[in-house]
Amino acid sequence: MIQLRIEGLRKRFGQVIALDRLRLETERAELLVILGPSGCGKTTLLRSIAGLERPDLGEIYLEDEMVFSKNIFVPPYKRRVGMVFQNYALWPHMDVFGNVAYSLKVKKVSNREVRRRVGEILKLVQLPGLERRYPHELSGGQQQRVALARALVMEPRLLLLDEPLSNLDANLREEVRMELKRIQGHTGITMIYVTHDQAEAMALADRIGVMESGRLIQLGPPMEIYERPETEFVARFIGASNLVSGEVGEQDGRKILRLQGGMEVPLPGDLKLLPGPALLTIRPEEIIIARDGPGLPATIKNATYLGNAIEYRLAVGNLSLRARTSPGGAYAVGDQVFVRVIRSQPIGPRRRHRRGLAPH
Amino acid sequence: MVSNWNGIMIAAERRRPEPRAIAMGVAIVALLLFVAYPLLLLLLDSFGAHEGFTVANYLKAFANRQNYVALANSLYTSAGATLFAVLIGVGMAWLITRTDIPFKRGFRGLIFLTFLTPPYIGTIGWVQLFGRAGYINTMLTQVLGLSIELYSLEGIIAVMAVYFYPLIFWATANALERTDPTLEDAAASSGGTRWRVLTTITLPLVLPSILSAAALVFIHTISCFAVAAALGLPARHYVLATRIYAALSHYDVQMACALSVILVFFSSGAFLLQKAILGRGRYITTTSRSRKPELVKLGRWRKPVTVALLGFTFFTAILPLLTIVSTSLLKAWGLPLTSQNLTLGNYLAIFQNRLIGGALRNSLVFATFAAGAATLLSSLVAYISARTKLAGRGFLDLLATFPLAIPGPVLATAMILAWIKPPLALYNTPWIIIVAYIVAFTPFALRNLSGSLRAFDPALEEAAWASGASWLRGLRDILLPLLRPGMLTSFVLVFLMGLREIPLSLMLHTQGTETVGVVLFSFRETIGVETVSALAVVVILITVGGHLIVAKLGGRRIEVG
Repeated sequence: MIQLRIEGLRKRFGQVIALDRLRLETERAELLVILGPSGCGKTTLLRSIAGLERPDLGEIYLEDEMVFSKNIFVPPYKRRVGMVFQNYALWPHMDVFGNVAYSLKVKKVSNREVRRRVGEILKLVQLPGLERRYPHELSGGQQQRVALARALVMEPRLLLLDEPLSNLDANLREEVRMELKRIQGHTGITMIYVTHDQAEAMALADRIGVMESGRLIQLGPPMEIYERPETEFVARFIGASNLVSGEVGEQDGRKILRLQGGMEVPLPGDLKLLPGPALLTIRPEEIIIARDGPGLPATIKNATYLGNAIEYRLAVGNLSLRARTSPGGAYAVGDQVFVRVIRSQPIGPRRRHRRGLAPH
Repeated sequence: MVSNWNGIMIAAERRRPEPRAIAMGVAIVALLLFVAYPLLLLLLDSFGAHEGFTVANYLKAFANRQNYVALANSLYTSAGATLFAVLIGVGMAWLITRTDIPFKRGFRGLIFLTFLTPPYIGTIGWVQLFGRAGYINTMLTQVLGLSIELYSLEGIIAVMAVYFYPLIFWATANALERTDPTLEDAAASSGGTRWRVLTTITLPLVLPSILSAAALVFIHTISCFAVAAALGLPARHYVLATRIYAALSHYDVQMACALSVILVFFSSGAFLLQKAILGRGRYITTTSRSRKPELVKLGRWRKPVTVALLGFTFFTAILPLLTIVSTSLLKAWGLPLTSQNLTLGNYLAIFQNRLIGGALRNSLVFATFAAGAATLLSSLVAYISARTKLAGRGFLDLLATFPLAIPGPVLATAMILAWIKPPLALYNTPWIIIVAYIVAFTPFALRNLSGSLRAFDPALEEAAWASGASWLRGLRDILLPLLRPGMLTSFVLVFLMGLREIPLSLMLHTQGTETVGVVLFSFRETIGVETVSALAVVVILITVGGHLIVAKLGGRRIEVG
């Protein structure tokens, strides 16, 4: 069942286009991560869904109820969409109970019921017994959980999270991330989670939607986004890959890629590439380094010890590549080596995902 | 069309007017009606709106030599007072924040006391000290055979500099405290001497704060009617503010209009300058304040500088108040302070005299009304400019703030023009005074409230709306409780300003609507200097009490003026 459907959503702030004909659908009980650099419009998208921002054009449906279109604007308090804000926005003049109970009190739920549900939800976020504490008496992680409980207690149709982990330190982030997953599994709620941190997105998401200047440019499971980025932007933003551009040609019946500077790289035969300019990604772990050939001659420019691996920066002609090997036979900076590429992926749209992306 | 979330207009459909739209409408109408309309009328009338466009009023104004002199006097006194206020304020700020001078809290307290003293009330004290038969002048004549002429332009400069330097002091002291000490360390480790670091790093960093405070002091001094009148009129020294008052007293409204526009030309120039300085982005680097700057050791200068500062602050903050208090307790001014000369009769007179009692009651009522309305209005304006995207919200903010640059006599003239005729004939009623107070004091309430509102993340209200609360409910449950201290502070500040206000009351009152300011200013002869002093003491006590409340509220007690 479709939980949220967005069609042709647009929003401008003066000269800046925050949302550009955006289309999106989510399913029930899905954790969708919207990933993009700051200023790509992801927060505007979230605020538009919550009703805190009014888009210029387009339509938003929640469970088939139209909450926004040209003539309709359902105010936020009638949308039943929960939101967790980046800096939590806990009300400083209310204690934990007051914060969490607020939405129930607004709905005039009976006191007994309020106490029961607040108790239940605090247990879910593992904060029982802190009802009478005030926000400033809580740690960052605890505040985060209160914000989550506050948004969940109203049993929203959708939970929106705006970079909720960005104010936590690294250890806590991982913990809260696991917690989020657990809570999502427990409640079966649909979550839309906005972040600029690709590692966070990979770890959390059922699906990732990558945004660039107001558009959703690729939507799919984390693995697909990582393995087969469809645009150069996605590839660069997901990071960790080498981007190589060149000309696809043929030599002795085999496909090759001619790089600038005249170097030639053999391409795997199963790649369906037409001759012409192409852009490829090569993941660092799919480059093999050896003392002897075959392969392209390269120079080690830099080595970084990462604990579980060593990352090298290699100069292949005038091309700079990153390669990752298991720590073992280490090479020194300046060593002359040979590299082979096991696998590379061309960038570019090849098949449309079943849903979610419209051709522009 | 009805206004909708975030101030965007959408097509009307099955909805009644929202509280949000109503609230905004009220603020807009109030500002247009009470600020824009009277000021526009003043401008138009100065160009003879009724007889077609003419500059005759201005030609007439400049044909009179007295007006030239008054303009020159205005510029001379306010420039002079501003200059001395800057010298005193910056010097004391540096001594107190950056050197090892003792009694820092004490000095700050005395500077605050100076600030709390209404300038006109201070002037009452100074007249008793340096007037024709003043205590100090009498002594000086006996001992040295000379006396100080307080009733002079220089006297006006001195008194105004004393009462306005605290504004410069706080601006500079705050800026100095916020400046990252590592910037100075960096300069020092690059080989700069202490003096070079001070002049090339420290001063340029705090200069915008000093300049903007100086522009504010210029506005206040060129507007300061009461001091200029009290010290200038006895010797026929006029400034523009007092010329406008004189023109109005002779029912020469055209002249008052023309002079008003000329005066506003200068005060709003300073106002725009101040806005420009503040708007240029602050390049004061705020720090975590993890480290305090190293204090300059004054060495052998420490003692003489301390003594000089003690002398100055005692002389300016305490002596005039002491004089007023002692006069208020004497049977007759000039008697020695002995037990048989002391009396509480002057205080009883305040409550027994029908005129004074009525004035006190009027002031309390007017100030309360004005404080309530100004607080409400500035809450709305602050909300609109900080939280909505309403087109023209910048203009609303400007409209609410601009009266800061309108001197009392000018505002009074504009109010008379606007409210003398139906449909809103407020003239000769208490309401014209209340409206004038609201217009005059909203800028101060607004500055205080914008500051507190901006301190709260808009996500706080949004979280309430996302939790199912309507716009109004969210404001009531979340923003209102958070803003309450800021609103109470605004209320108290405006109330205190209303309580001691002089030029507006003086020019807009009628029989039965006299205020404390009117009694203080114009009834010295009829009720005697002793009773006036007693009333002044009451005003000061209420002022100090009010500021204690504000300090308790945890509001930033120094952001006034």
